[in-house]
Amino acid sequence: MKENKDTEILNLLKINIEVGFKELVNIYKKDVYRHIRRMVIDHDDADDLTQETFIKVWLNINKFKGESKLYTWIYQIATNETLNFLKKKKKFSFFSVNNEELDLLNKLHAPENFRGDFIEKKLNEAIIKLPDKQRLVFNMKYFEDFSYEQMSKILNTSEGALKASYHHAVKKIEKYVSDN
Amino acid sequence: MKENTSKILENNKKGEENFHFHIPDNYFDQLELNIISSTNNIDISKKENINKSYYSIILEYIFLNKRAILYSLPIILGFILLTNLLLYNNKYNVNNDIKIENYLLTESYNDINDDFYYDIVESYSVNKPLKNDKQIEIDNYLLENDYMDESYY
Repeated sequence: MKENKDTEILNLLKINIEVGFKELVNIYKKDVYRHIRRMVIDHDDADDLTQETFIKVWLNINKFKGESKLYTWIYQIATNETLNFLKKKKKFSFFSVNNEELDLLNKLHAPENFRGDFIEKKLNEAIIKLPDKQRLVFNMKYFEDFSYEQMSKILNTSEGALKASYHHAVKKIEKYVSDN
Repeated sequence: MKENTSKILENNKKGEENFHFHIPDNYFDQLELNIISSTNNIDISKKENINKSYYSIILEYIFLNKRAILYSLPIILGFILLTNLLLYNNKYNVNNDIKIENYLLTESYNDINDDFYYDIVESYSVNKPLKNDKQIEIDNYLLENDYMDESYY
C-alpha cells in the first residue's frame, strides 16, 4: 500500500500545494485508474472518472484534515464517483434491468478491452454479474489486496458486512464459472 | 472448471499483475498531463470554484433519489392541473364577455329602453349558459318584429 508515501505527500502539500498535488497524482494515478476500470470496464469511462476523481481531490485538498489516511480519502472519492456513474447509467436503462450488465459484458468481450485468457474472462464475466457494491468489495479484496479494516474505512461499512459480502461474491462466482 | 476457479481464487496475483484490461500506450503520462492542466485552470483559493450552485445540488439530489422524484411528481402535476383550470376558467369568462359585447354590438339597440337592455344583458350573464345560435336568431326575429313585450319575460 501507499501508506508510507502519504506522509511525504502531506508534507509536500504544506510546502507547495502544486508540487505536492503533482506527486500525489504521480503516485496514485495507476491504482485509482485500475480501481475504476475494473468496475466500469470501458477505458474512456475509466479515463473520465479518474480525471474527475483527481479534480475533486484538488478542489478539496485544502479541506483534508488528515483525520483519515490520504489513500482512504482518495479511494473514497474514486469509489463514490464510480458508483454514482453506474447508478446514473442504470437510470437511463429504461427497457431492461439487465441493460447495464449486458453493456459491461459486451465491453468485456470487445478484443480491444480485455487481453486475459479464457478462464480470466470467465472470472470477470462472473464478477460483472454481481451487484455493484458486492463487485466493488470483491475487486478490492481479491485484486487490490485491501484488508477488511481498510475497506471498512473506505466504504464506510462494517468489517462483518464486508466479510459476508465477499463470501457471497465468491460463492456466486464459483457457481457461475462451474455452470458456464 | 471448478478446480480452475478455486485455484485462481486462492492464488491470485495482485495489482498490475492481475490487471488484464488493455491500456493505450503512454496513457498514464498523458493522464497526468491532463489532470495537471485541468487543475491549473482551477484556482482553489476562490470559493465559488469549490461550491456548486444550489440549483445543481438540488437537481443532482432529485436525479439521484427516486423517492424525491416520486413524492414531488404529484405536487408538480397538481400544480400544472390547477394552473390549467384557472386559465381555462378565466378564458371561459373572457369568452362570455366578448360574446355578450359582440351580440349587443351587432344589433341596433340604440332605441331600446334601459330596462330591455339590462334584461338581455342579465340573460347572458357569465353564470348562465349562453344561448345557442338558434335562440339568438329567434330573439333577433322577435326584436325586429316588435314582439318583445313584458309577457315574454
